[in-house]
Amino acid sequence: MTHETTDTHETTTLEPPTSSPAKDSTLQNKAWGVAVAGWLLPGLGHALLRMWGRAAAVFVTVALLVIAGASMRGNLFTSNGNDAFDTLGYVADLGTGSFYFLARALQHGGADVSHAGGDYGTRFLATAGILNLLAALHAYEAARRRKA
Amino acid sequence: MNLANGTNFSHLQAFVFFAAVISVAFGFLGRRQPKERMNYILWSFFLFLLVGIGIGWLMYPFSR
Repeated sequence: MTHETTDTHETTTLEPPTSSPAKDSTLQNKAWGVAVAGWLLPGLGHALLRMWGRAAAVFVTVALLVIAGASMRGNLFTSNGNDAFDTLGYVADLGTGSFYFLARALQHGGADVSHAGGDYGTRFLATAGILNLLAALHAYEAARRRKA
Repeated sequence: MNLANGTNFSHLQAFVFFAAVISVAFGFLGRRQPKERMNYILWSFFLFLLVGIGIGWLMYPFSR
């Protein structure tokens, strides 16, 4: 029995689940690699699985949120947080992977949350990170040949 | 978009932008077929707007 997953323009035939410990271990390692790649560069995890539509969608949506958030002068949290919320914000921002540094590079004037736009920008940046983590988890499950 | 001075979105613009981007992401991650994706994106976008505007109106009596 084969399972087929279709992306926008791509059809991939998946092997049936195996019970061999060696193959399971290889699959697991590959899935972790895909997840880490997807975290480091949004969309790369799905691209490695040849899910081109999803890869493009993740890349574009995360990039849009990061660019918008940074240009609205949202707060990009650092590791020097004062409380648990700052730490949570840092974890969320780090979820964008390499785009965290893109956001830093875009923010010449630093954060300004004294106006509503800056506050929205903070949410956009955090959402970009969480969305990318969700996409990386999705790619991980797809690499493990779970339904995704 | 002026990155140096900051982009100024209105509340509504930021809200619609957020709803649109997240709906597209959810549609692509949650559905496989193009038609299903489009339906999901439109439905999700509509619900974002409905819930957001609904909550806004619910808060209106307490806003001043």
